[in-house]
Parts: sequence; C-alpha cells; structure tokens
Amino acid sequence: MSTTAVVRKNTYFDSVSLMSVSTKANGLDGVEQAFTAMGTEMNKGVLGNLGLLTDELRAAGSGDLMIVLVAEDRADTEALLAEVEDLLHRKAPASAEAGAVTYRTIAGAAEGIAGANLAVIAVNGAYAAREARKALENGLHVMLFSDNVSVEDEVALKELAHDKGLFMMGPDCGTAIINNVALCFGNKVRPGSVGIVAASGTGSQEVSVRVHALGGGISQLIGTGGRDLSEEVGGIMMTDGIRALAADPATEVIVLVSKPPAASVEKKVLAEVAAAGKPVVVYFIGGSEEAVTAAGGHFASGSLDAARQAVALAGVETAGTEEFDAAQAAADVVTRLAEGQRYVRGLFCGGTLCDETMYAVKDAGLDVWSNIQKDPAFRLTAAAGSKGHTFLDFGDDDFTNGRPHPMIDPTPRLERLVAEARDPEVAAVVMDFVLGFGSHEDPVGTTLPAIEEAQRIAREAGRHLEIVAYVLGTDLDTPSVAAQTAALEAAGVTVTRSSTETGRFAREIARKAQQA
Amino acid sequence: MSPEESIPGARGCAVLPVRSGDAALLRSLRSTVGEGVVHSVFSRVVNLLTPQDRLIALAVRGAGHAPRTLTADVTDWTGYGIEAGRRVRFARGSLTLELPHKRLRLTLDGARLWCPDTPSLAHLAPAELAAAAAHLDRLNRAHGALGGMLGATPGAGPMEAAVATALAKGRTGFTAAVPTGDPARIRTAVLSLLGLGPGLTPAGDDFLTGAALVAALPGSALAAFVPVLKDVLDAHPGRTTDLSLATLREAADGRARAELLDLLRLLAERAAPRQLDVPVRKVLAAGHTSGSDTLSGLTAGLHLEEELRGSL
Repeated sequence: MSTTAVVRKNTYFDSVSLMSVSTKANGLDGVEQAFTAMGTEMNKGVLGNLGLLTDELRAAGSGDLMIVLVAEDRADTEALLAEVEDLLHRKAPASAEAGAVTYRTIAGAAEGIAGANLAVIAVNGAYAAREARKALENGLHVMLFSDNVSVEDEVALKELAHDKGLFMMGPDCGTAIINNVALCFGNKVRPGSVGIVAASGTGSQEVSVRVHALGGGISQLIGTGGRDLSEEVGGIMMTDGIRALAADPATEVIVLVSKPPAASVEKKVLAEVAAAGKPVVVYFIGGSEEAVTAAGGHFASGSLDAARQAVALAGVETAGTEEFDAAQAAADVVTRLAEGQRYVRGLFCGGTLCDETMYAVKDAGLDVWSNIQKDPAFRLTAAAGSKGHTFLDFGDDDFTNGRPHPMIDPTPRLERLVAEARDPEVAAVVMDFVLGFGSHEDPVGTTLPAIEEAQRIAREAGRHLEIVAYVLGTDLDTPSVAAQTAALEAAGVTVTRSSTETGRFAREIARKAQQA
Repeated sequence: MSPEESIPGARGCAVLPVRSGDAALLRSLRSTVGEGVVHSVFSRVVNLLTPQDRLIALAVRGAGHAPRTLTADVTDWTGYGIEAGRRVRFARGSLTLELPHKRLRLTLDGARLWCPDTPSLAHLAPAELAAAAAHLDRLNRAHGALGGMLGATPGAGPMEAAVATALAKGRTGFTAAVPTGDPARIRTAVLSLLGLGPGLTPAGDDFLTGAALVAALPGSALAAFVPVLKDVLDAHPGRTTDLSLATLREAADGRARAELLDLLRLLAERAAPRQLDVPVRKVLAAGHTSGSDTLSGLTAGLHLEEELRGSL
C-alpha cells in the first residue's frame, strides 16, 4: 500500500463536482481509497493522524485542492496520477449539449416544443411539487423522479392531474416506458401488448424483462410512485393507469405490481380490475389470492408468475424453459459448506428484488432481518451489522442519504460483501445487478474485484462461500444480460434467471443450511 | 456568449446589467475604482476579488440573494469564457471583466437593492427556542445530507470517518465552551472546527456560520462568541478557504443567505412547525452538505440560547 498525492494550486471545485471527482478516483483500478479536500490545516491534520501526510500535502494551502490516493502495492502510481489528472482536466459539461435548446421554464418548454405532452422532473424535493404543478397546468403529463415531496402535495398534484385527464407519475417514480421510450431507469424491451401499472420501480422492471424474455412485449409501463396505494393517496394514479390501459387498444393484458395496498385502497383498485374489461394480472408482493380472484383478477404469486400469466393471456407462444430445481441446487451447495455456515445474506440494489427474495425466505418460516422489514423487531439500520438471515436494500433512503442510488453507483455494497465473507456463519451471499437505461454502465465489472476478494477470504478460512447473483436486464440492453452473466459465471458465481428463482434458491439454501 | 443576454456596447465589449444585489455591496462598488481579479468560476457563480482583496460574487438569476453578491440576468456563466486570474476593472457604476477576445461590462445602475433583514429571537422563551431547535434538528436528520456534521455516510472510508469524528468532537467542544463565556476556551473550540471538512466551505465552517448567525442576532445571549470568532478570523485568515472566510465574516455581522434569514424570521414570528418545512429544505439545498451543516450550527446556536437564557 502506498500513498500518492496530487495538489492543484488555487483550484476550486463546487461540492458536487468535488464529490464526483472523489467517486471516480475511488473507482480507479488499483485505488484502495481516494480523498479530495481543500488543503486547510485541519484537513491536513486529519491526514497526518491517518499517517497519510506527505511533504507535498504538507505544503498545500487552504486554496489548494488535495487529492490523496491510497494505492494497492501492485498499482502503477504513475498511471493512477495520470488518470486523476485526466479527471481534473475534464471540463464540467456546459448546461446544454451543442445544438440543444435549453428552456428556462416548463412553460417555455411547453410552448417551444410543438406536441410536447410529458415532463420528466428531477429537481430537489423542495421545488419538485411546484415544478410538477406548473407542468400539469401547462397540459403536460408528469413523471416526477424527485422524492421528499409531502403526501399533501402528492395528493393535491394527483387530484389536479386526474381532473385534467393527465398522468401524475410519482413522486419518487423511477421507472416508466411510454410509447416504447424508457424513462429514467428502464430496460430495452420489445413493444407488445402487455401494459403494466406499478408502484414499484424494480418490480416493474423485473416484470417487463421477464415478459420480454418469454417472447412478449410491453405496450406501456406506467409508474405511480411508491406511496400511491397508501391510505392517504388512495391509489389515484393506479386507478387512472388501469383506466388508461383499459382504453388503450394496443394493450391486451394489464399487470399491476405493488406492495400490498392499504385495505380501503385495495378495494378501490380491485373494483377497477373488475371493470377493466381486459384480463388483469395482480402481483401484490406478499399479498393474498382470495380478494384478487373474487374481483376476477389473475393472482400472481411472484414476478415470474405475473410475467408468465400475462404472456399466456396475451396469446404469446412461449418456448418451454427448464424448471430450476432449487432444492437440488441448494443441496449441492450445502454439501460444500463448513460447520457453522448457516445463514444467507442478501445485498440488493432493487427494493422489490430484495422484497421478493426476503418474502421467499420468510415463507419457509425462517426469521429474516432487514432494513425494509415491516416488523420493527426484525428491522436493521444501515449502520447495524448483519444478523441471522439478513436482506438489505441498498437503494433505501437509509443507505442513499448523500449518495447516488446503488443502481448508478454500486460501490457502497462492495465493502459489505467483503465484510459478509469474513463472517464464519455466512453460507451464501445473494446479489442483484440491474442493467438498462439510467443504470451503471458495467455493474458486474465494478463488483468483480470485491467478489474475488470475498471468495479469497472464505477460501483462506477453509470455507466455501456461495455467491448467487441475478442480472436484471434483456438481450437488448447495453451491456447485455448474457455478457454480464458470463463475467459472473467465469468468476464462479451462480447466476439465477429471475427474481423469483433467486428467492427460491435463497430460501432453499437458508432452509437446508440451517438444518445442517 | 449568449447574445440574447448581453447588449452590444462599445466594440469588443458586451454589456450586461446587474439586476439586483446586496445593498451594502452596491453602495461600496459605486465608489470603488481600481483593478481586481477573477477568483474562481462556477456555472452559477463567478467570484471576484475587488481592488481591496474583498471576495464578492456574481450570481445567475434565481440563485437567491446573499451578502456580497450581485445577480445578473444570465442562467449560466459556463459559456462566457470567464477564467480565474483574469483582470477585472472596477469603475464607478460598473465592473469590466477581461475575456479572451472581448470584455464583459456589468453595469450597476438600476440594480434592485437587497437589504438583509436580521430578525431578533430575544422575545422567545427558552421552551420555544428548545422546541424550534428540536424541530429543525428532526428535519435536518430526515432530509439533510450525510458526510458532514450529520456524520459519515454508510460505508465511508477511513478519511471521511476521521473527518466525521473530528467534526463531532469539535461540536462537543464548541457547545461546552460557549456557555462558559471564556474567550480562550471558545477560541480553542473555534479553531478545532475552522477549515475542517473537504468542501469549498468546510463542514466545520458551515457549522460555525449557523451558530454565528444566531449569536449575531440582536439580543442574543451568545454575545461572547462573536468577538472571539472575529478575532480568530482576523488572526488566522489562512486556516480556511477565501469563500468560507467571507461567509463566516458576514455571518458574524448577522448577514447570511436569504434562505437562512427567512428561516430565522419565521422562528421569530413563532410560525407553526409545518411552515418551516419548505424554508428548511431551501436551506438544505445549498451545496452538497453545506445546507445541512449550517442548519446543524443554527440548531446548536438555538440550544445554546435556550441554555443560557434558562440560566439567567
């Protein structure tokens, strides 16, 4: 390990750029830690306490930018320095790409772009409701990516949209596919006859990619925002979404994806299901079958089941796929475990993917701890260590405060993966990798060094650590599912083929490892 | 250069009117003559050093009012070709920036005046101060960014963790020192935070800014803190960045960004907690952790006010 420093005299970066340089420097191959800071006495004092203060850093002034790299022994420090210089020299992009037109207000954009009918809004939560209202008042549908919008504002916006016959997708809506265009986080899928309305981002991505993999296609994917089916919001957007797809001639089957709604809202939504006049597949994660069936809906027990039913109802012929024998595969894993290895740890980017796997393990009657557990007795904070079977959603607010979402920057869970490998009670680590628009350009490539490190730690301790991965994406995404899967398999990772299959495999490993 | 935003003037010179600005700054610029320099350039702000080496800012429209700041009718400075180190000529009523192939003259005539209105919290009872501080703290923890006074981000490396530990220690020392009124202890506490944190306005400075603003309000019980802070800044200007130094000096005079003053005004008017949500989020929107760190200092200041008033 060696310390390398770059000092840029009288160089000022705004805090967001500074964080970006720091994040990119941390991602360079061969860098263990990177740190950027102004050269104040106190910051130099901190570096001194950590034994990282070089002569060059000591000479930095408070107007100078310090970049400190702690590099691995094998690293080529000259090359690293050149890469850091390159990061610093890259100019911040101008406000608009060459030739693009920048509008200063939503009203200006609405006027200036003939036929514009949708605004995607991603601003600080403090301003989000105001901008969304302006868009609606200008006759635009809204996809509101921002979170931290009050529930009162959400209700008011959705009521306004409803009255105007517009969509109000969000707040906190990260996924939509409208007229074959994926917005924010979405995958490249075939156009088709399955319409989705979803209060869950990665849940809807998973259903859309499964539909695609089964030979079907997507007509529209309408996001509602995670709070839409709460008592307070009352499912306004989900209801409007169902009605819109019911009236859409290109949609033959509707799929609903959400966590279980509030009881009164479930009634309202199921009334819409009954009135839709088209087959509706209902996947309420962890929900019950009875009410859905009574309303004439098609109950789906998981995301794969939802996609399979939708494709079948749409009349798409699917080639039979070999069923995954989770029990046998788990039995094979357990034979390789050392004494005391009994728990499964899930490290997820996608909340719904985490949920689906967690519910599968819970369904086996096992105790599960998580940062998204409803039961406070089994809830973990981001700072807490794992306990028993633990499933963490790294995209939850607890982990993303002050950081990009792990689908954009997968690095926060890498340290956790290595930490789990050190725990002699861990039998398997389950991870997801989300591909598509908006996601990291190579999530598997970024994670492979940590996977290898985790495997090495377990191996040296005389243990086999089973690493299970699911890659959410399609053959049309860049990079493709096949390329990311191949890289994982080459590293000795077991790759599952769907979120549902991941849950089954995790459940069987958890059950058998605990029994053993 | 964006042609619709500048009015062609003399050959090789574009003219851009300043729309509004800090009244005290505008007053002083009307009599400032000499040569300054571009200090730093960002997309929304260009910082200049006046002939007297005083840092001032040119902000884009919508950036909000702040001390030592002028607002021009532009949306982004990126395309103007302004570079750090370029000369700036200050004449009565205008300032002219030397660009690579032309000049940009900013005219001050007709600029609207922004006069920061410093409220007083002297009429609030200790219990009211405590309730306000607790509410602000709750909002900060719910919506503020980690990485500064709120602690390290999950999975932070040893360097960020060490800064977070030092910040926490600095805060503890500060809140213990101020009530004693002992200048030596307060001075040590200020020095333990000044310049601490990676950003352009380090987190420790932002914390001190929030606390100084409360202490500088009329009738504050923290009066002992302000002169010590001013002394430290005068004695150790190199301990932090120029921008942070300017912000701290203004805060010590009760002058701060409009969002912070608006928030204090609402507290003075005994606004209902819900009315604070939007103003707090505006404060939190500053920088990466700056808003949150400043709010932490402001909250600490309110707690100290409560403690000191209660002990009267």
